[in-house]
Amino acid sequence: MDLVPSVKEKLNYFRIKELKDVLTQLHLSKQGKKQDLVDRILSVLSDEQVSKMWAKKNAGGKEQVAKLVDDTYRKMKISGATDLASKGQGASDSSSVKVKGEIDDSFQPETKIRCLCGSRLETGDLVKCDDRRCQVWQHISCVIIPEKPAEGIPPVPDKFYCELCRLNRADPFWVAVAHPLLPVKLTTTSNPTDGTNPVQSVERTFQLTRADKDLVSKPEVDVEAWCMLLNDKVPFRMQWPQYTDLQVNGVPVRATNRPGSQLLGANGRDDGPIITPYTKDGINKISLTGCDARIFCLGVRIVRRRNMQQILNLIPKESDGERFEDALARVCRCVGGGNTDGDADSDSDLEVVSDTFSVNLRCPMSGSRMKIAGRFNPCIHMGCFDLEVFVEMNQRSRKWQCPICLKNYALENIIIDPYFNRITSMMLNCGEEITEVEVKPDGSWRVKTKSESERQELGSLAQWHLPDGSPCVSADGDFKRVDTLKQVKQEGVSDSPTGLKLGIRKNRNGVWEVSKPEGTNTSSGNKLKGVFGNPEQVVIPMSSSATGSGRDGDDPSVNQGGGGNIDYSAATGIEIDSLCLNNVDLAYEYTAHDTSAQAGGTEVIVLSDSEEDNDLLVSPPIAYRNNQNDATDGYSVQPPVIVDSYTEDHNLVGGNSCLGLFPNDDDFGMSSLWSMPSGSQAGPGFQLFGSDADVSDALVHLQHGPVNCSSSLNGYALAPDTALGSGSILHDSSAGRLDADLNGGLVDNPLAFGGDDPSLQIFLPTRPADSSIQNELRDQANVANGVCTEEDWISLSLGGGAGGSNGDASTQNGLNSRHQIPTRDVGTNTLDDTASLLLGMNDVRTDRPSRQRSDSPFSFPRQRRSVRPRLYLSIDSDSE
Amino acid sequence: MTSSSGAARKNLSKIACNRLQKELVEWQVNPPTGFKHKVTDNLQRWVVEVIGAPGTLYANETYQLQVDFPENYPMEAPQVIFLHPAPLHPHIYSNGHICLDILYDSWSPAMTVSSICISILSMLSSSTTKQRPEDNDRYVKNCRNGRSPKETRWWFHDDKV
Repeated sequence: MDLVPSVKEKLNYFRIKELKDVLTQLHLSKQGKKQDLVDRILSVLSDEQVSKMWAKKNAGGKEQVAKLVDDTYRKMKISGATDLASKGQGASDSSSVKVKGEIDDSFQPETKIRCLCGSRLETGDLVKCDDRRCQVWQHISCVIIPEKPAEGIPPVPDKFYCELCRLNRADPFWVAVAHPLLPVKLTTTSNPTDGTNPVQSVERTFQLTRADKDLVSKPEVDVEAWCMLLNDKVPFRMQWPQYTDLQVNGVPVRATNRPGSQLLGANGRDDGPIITPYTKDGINKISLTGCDARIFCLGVRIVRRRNMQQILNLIPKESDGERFEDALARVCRCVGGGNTDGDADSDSDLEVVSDTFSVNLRCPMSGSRMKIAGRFNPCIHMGCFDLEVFVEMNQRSRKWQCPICLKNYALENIIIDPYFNRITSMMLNCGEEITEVEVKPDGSWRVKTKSESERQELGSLAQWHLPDGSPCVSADGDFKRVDTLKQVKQEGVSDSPTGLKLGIRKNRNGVWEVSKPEGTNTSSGNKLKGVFGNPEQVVIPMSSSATGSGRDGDDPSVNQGGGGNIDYSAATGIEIDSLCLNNVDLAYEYTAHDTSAQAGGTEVIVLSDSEEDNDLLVSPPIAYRNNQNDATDGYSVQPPVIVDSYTEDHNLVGGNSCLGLFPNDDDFGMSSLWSMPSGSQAGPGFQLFGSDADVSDALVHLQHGPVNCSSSLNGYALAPDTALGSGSILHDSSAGRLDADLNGGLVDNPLAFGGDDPSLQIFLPTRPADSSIQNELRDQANVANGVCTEEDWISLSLGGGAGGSNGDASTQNGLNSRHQIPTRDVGTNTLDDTASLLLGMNDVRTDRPSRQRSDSPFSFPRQRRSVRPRLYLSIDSDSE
Repeated sequence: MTSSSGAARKNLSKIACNRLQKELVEWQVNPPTGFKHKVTDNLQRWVVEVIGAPGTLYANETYQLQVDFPENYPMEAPQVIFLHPAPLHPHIYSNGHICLDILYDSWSPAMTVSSICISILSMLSSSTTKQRPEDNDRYVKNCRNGRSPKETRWWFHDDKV
């Protein structure tokens, strides 16, 4: 097929006459613009239907066409028809040279003032075109037109472009080379009194020099008449008046195809008719009459056609368009904000706890997966389109409108989305049917697969990748498929001041140990068994904040009681260091589920108060229960499964796995709230427990008690950086920072989890102070890390409760833990509605987290439980 | 340009063809509830059967939508009209033209036939009375020569139905 380029080059030199000759010999239609003729000939050479059609009639096929073109070309050269031969190179070269600066050349040097009125005097107020290269001044009274004549002159818009700059943006496929007739306004000639539109008209002459004519003789250059509505709401388009009558040198030219009475809709685009055939050297006359009340201007320009490739070249390279960080921040905001999904219903009561979002990479125009992800820079949404498809479609439609938000832009606003383009380019070799990726609120992603076989086919793409495209440290196979849901229910908290501290951990032998509070935190060396707190303090490790609300009873909105704070630092496997129960009677029951049998070595801890809750889950392979005082208090701990996301945290320097214990005094109002601080967005996936003022006290308290938080983060299980740090902190957390955060930061919003994640997830896992992997706690479990410390951390995530707590930090804050502690039986009823907090990471694999509200495992059985506050903790262990 | 009748229409562009094929496949896999695509070999004109949603004024009634795709779909909205008889609805004219913004000014290339269908069904479902638009006669008379609804300058005023 090397015929095509050579033929194409020759065709570029052809005049209409030669083109028609060739078409005649091919028995093809000679109608249409010059470019149409060229295209028609070329299409014969390409593989499409036309060639088949034609080939039937003419056995010679493509070779013959090529020969025909060749002959014609030679004839043309011999006859000296044009001087084209001397110009030697391809048309594209020469055009690209001239394209530059054509606007400047034409007027800017001449004058700073160019106005529709033709005057160059500085009379009245001026307005400057915002185009960087144009910067021409115009009279405000001439160019700023009010919507209705009665209204006076409206304020100058933020961005003002002169007509020529608007025209240039209207259709970048035609670029102006010269302006034989600068825009002039139409003037009203008759003003009917019967209410019909006035007739307006303009008649001008313009000159085409010999040089212009030579230029126009090139196939890609033409003379175009154009018309524009001055105060068009769609600034970058042409528009002709109603009942347009355009004449060039006395010859009527059809300007638009719409019926005279029809107005141009918001989505319509008028065209500029090519008037090349009607023009001659020297003076030409053009006249336009319309019947319209609005104000238009008419101009004539010489335009050069650009091809697709030239347009694509105008779009900045991926690296020049937008910083990757900006793109990532946008994605995090959109994914984490929860409202990005256009189709997700926004029923806040049922805000879904989701860990990942599915993003469809299909181009809205073509329906296929994007190859190059393009977007308009000013758009706030993260939706993209396929760049090439979009440009190609706009070649015809000339809309330059964002297909997602329908805003009108221009070519200059198009950029390549560095975030999604990275993904789409990595997926270039994937099957056509694979169009979705899952994105976590921190920007990490993986290709979404529907089946195991698909996953295997995809190989590494089905694994989580960091936002920059590098694979996350892979979790080992054990993590796969473990979907665990943890439920924690707090049945009651006794109000007795004495704290009960309970620590559970699995020692190296794999035996679970429950340690009772020693009363001092100092004991927690490496492994704080979870007792931090002064004796009088009640430490509740696993209390779910949700429970708090229940207790309050009076304030339904307060869902998440800080009273129960649970910190699990989960290590990949396995240790629960300390669970502190502050209930004297051990109101808590923890049931661990390991939903997935496949978990293998991994262990899951599910806390729940009753088996029923567990029903939702796959029954745990291993049941581990500690019942302390009463039967009701159950502590069943199953071997924790590690969620990948958490795993990263595991490498604590301290080696301390800390369960978050928050000493709760009655006195503390620890409202550990699951608030979603807005600021947290920066932090990918973390949620902080929002603490309000009360919390701060509590924290302060805590700090005293537990002693040093620094490396081990010991005392505060939750405090551990991840949880505590605002999301952003996590990002760049260095050891030093962590400390600071823990200490100081706690006070501020220690418990709050960054709300970035729509599903409230609380990661209790402490983050190793020195952990090198800062960003993505949630992402992959860093198995290696987690494992190496013998201690296992369990991180629990708290899902956004039914309470719709997500968005609404304020309601959640405000809880006082005090209330919580005292009552076990107090008004738990609220839980039913709002209080139940789902702690859970969703199963990563859920296809549509948002949809699952009703039937998902995260919904709580509400019937009989209503009495008690519930907290569900789920561990999502789907690590891959 | 929006030619009024199917005969003069230009063929679909390649992109439009691909896109429509994808939409058709998607439709077959996952059709919008309440709609049936009547199979033809014409990709450029779809006829879709609409069944009124249960519990609404149009329950158990069946209508036919004709969807014609312009050459440069999806940049340009398809022309969607009800075939005779058109349902009685305050925004549906007796000649089948539908006053619905997404079919005209608010069309976005990101929409699909199935999203249009759902919008139309929702428009039907939210209707409280079965009646023609007030200006039905005048409008229909204006359109006697087979004008496309896309050439109408619609005025969208009612967001309730």
